[in-house]
Amino acid sequence: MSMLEVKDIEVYYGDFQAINKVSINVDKGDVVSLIGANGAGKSTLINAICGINKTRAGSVTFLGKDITKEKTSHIVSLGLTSAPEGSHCFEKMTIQDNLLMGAYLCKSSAERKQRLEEIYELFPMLREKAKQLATFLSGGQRQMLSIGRALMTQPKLLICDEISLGLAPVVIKEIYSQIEKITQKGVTLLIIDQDVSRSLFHSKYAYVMLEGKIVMEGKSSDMNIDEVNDAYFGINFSKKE
Amino acid sequence: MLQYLVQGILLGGLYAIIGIGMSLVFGIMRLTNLAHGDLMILSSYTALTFCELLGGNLILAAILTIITMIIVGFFIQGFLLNNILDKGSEPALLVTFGVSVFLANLLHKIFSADYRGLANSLSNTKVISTPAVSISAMYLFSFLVAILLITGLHLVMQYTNFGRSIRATSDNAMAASLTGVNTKKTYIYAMMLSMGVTAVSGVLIGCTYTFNASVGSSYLIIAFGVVVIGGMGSLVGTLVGGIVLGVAQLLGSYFFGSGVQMLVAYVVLLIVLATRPNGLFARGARK
Amino acid sequence: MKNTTQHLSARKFKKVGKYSALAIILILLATLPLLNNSAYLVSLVTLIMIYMALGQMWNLLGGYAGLLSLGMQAFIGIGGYSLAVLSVDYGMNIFVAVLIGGALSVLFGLAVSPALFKMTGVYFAIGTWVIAEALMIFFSNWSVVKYAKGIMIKTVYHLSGTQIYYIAVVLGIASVLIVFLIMRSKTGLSLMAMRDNPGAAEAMGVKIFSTKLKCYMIACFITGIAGGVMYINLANITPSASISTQWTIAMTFMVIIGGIGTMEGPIIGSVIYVLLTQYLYNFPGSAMIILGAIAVIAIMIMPNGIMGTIHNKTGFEILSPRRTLSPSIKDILRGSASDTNR
Repeated sequence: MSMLEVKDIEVYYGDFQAINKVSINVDKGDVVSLIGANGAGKSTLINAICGINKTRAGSVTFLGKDITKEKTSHIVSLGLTSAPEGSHCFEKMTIQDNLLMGAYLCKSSAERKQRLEEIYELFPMLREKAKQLATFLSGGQRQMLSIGRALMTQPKLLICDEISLGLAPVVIKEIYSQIEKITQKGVTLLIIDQDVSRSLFHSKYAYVMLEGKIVMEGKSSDMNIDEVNDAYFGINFSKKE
Repeated sequence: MLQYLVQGILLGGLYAIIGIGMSLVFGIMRLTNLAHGDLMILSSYTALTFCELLGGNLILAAILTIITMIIVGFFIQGFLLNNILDKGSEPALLVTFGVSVFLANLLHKIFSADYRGLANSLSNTKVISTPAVSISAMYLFSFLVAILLITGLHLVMQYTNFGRSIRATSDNAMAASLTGVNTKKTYIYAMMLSMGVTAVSGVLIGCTYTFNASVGSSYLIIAFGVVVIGGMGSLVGTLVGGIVLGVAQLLGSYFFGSGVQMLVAYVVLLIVLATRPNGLFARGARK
Repeated sequence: MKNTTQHLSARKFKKVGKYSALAIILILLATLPLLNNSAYLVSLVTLIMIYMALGQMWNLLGGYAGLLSLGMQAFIGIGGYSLAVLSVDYGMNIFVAVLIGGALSVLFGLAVSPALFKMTGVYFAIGTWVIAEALMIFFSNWSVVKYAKGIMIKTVYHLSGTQIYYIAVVLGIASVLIVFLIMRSKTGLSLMAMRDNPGAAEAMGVKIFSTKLKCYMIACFITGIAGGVMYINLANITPSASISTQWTIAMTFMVIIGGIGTMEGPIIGSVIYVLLTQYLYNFPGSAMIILGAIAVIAIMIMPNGIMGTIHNKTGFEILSPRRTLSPSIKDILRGSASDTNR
C-alpha cells in the first residue's frame, strides 16, 4: 500500500530548476533509499516533500491526502517528518528539551514523558547527556538527537536526510543498527545517503538521483552495484522505466 | 548620591519591562521593532482613555489596555510583519519604521501635544524617607512588577510546551516546523505576548512620568539599550540592562545636571554597541 | 549575426534617446526661473533638488554600501549650524560657510567611525540614530549655537529665490553625478561585489571596510552641504528641528518609494515626496500619518520601489550603475540571440 507518492514534481530556486519531474513511491512498512551525489537534488526533494521548499508543478500525496501545497507543520501533524540534513538541532536547548520539542503536538505531558522514555531506550547515550546543551554534541550524537527528535513526533513515515554525512564509520554503523529497531516499531523509512552499498543493504527499494532527476530505480536486491555507481556519477546512464 | 543610585536601580526595573517586549520580538524573529516605543505610548494613551471612560478605575483600565494591545499585536504581526519577514530584514525594519511614524503622528493628531499622565495613588508616595535615601513608591512598585514578570516569563519559557516552542522557533525555525510548530502562528503569539508586556510598561510609564505622542522614540532607544546591554534572548539580561541604563541616567543627572542625563545613557549604549554588541548575557552570538 | 547588429543599433538609438532626454531636462532646469510666474515652481524645484541630494546619499549608504543609517540628520544639523554660526557670528561668506559645514560633517563622521563601524546591521542603524540624538542634546546645551533658542540666519535674507534655486540645482545634479561616478568606478564594482557576496568579495581583495568608510565620508560631506543649503532656504535653525528624525523619515520615504539601490529611485522619490508634502499641507497634522501609511503599504506591495519594480520587470534603467559588456559577449552568456531592453 502506497504511503507517500510523489508525482512529476518540479522545484525551482529562482530561475534555476533543481528538481525536474521526479516521481517516487514509498510503500507502507518499507525502507526506501534515495541515493545520489552532492548537489543531485536529494535534500531539495525532501524539503519539497515536507513543505519547506515550494513545489512548482506535480503532486505529493501522503496517506491519500494531497500535501503538495501544505505547510510543514500540518504535514508533520499528518505523520510525515524528516531528520534534516545537517541535523539542525536546537543549539541552545538541552537534549531533553530538544526531544520534548519533538512531542510538541502531543497535548499530554505524561504521554510526552512516555515517548521520551522510548527514545532514551533507543539511544541510551542521549539519556546520559540529557541536561547538556545540544551545541556541545559531536556529529554522531547530533544525528542521533535529530533522529530521536523526529521519532518523538511518532511519525508514520520518517525521512532521514544524509544520516551518515561526515560521520565516522563506527558511528554510521551504530546509527544504521538502530534503523532496524525503528522499522520494527512500524515506522516507514525513506533514507537519503551518499553511501551506496550501505543504503542498498538496508533498503527494500532504491532510487538514484542525478542533477534533479531520477536516473535509476528498482528493488535494492536486484541492483547491480556497478550500474548504480555509474548512474550515481552520470556515466552512460540510462533511465530504467 | 546614594539616593540617585538607588533610584537608578529601581528605575532599571521599569526600563527592563520596556525592554522585555523588544527582546521577545528580536529574539524570536530577529526583528528590531522600531515602533516599539510608540506602541508603548499607545498603551499609555489607551490606559488614559479607558481610565477616563471608567471614571478613574486604573486597575481595570490597565487590564483592558493589556487586552487591547494583545489584539493590536495580533493584527500587526498577522497582517503586516508575517508578510514582510520573508522578504528580508531591511524591508521589515523599514515597515516598523513606517508604523512608528504613522502611530506617533496619529496619536499626536488625536491627543495633541499636551503632556498627559495617569493619575494614581502611588505617584507621590515615598516608601522609605530618610535623609540619605528616599525611595518613591512608584519606582519600587515597577521594580517589583519587573521581577514578577521576568520570573513568570522564565517559568513559562522553561517549563511549558508553549514556551519551549517559542525557544525552539527562535533557535531554528525550520527544525521547529519539522516538529509541528506553525512558525507564523508562533510569531503571532510572540508578538501578542510582547504587546501584553509592553502594555504593562506603558501603564507604568504613564504613572511615573508625563508623556505625549513624541516621546516614543526616546523610549525606543531605552528599550534597545536594555536589550543590547543585557543581551538578546536573556530575560535576566534585560533586568541588568535596565539597571545599567537607569543608574547611568540618574548618575548622569546627579553629576552633570538633568538636561544631559539622557546623554550619559546614550554614551553608555554607544560604548556597549561598539564593544560588546551581543550584550553581557548573550546566549550565543546573535546579529 | 543579424540579431547582434540589430541589437547594437537598437542600443545606440536608446543611448542617444536617453542622453537627449537628459539634456532637455538640464536645459529646462537651467531656464526655469526665466519663465513668467514660475516663482512657486522654482521654490518647489529648489526643495526637490535639496531632498534629491539627501536621498542620493541615503541610497548610496543604504542601497549600495549596505549601511542602513537612521542618523544622517546629525550632518544636516552640522551643515545648517555651520552656515548659521559662521556667517552670522563670524561674518564668513555663505558659500564658504556651507563648504566648511561639509568639511565639519566629514570630520564628525571620521571621529565617530571607529566606534560606529564596529557595529553592523540594525546595531549600526540604531548607533547612527543614538549619535544623532546625543549631538542634538549637546547642541541644545551649547552656547556657540545659542542653545535651544535657535538662530535667525540673517545673512541669507538678501539672496533671491532664484539664486537659492540655482544653488540647489547645482547640489542636486552634483549629488546624482557623484553617485553615478562612484558606481562606475572601481569603488562601485567593489560595492556591487560586496552587496552580492561579501565573503567572496573580501577573498578577491576588496577592502570592505575602507570602501564603506569612503562612501560614508562622501555621504557625510554631501549631507552636510545639503544641510547648509537647506538652511539657506529655511533661514531659521534650532537644534530639535535641524537634528530631527523628520529628515530620516523623508530620506527613507523617498528611497523606499523611488526604489532602493537604484540611481533613479531618489530622483523620483524626491519629486514624489515634495509634491506629496506640499499637497498634504491641505490636511494639517495628517501629512505624516499619510506618509507613514503610504510607506508601509509601499514596502508591503512594492519592496523595490517604483524604479526597482520597473527595473525587475523590464530591465529599463535611465542611469545604469553597471558598465555594459559588448553585445556579442552578453548574447553568448545569455545563451540566446533574443532582443532585450539592455
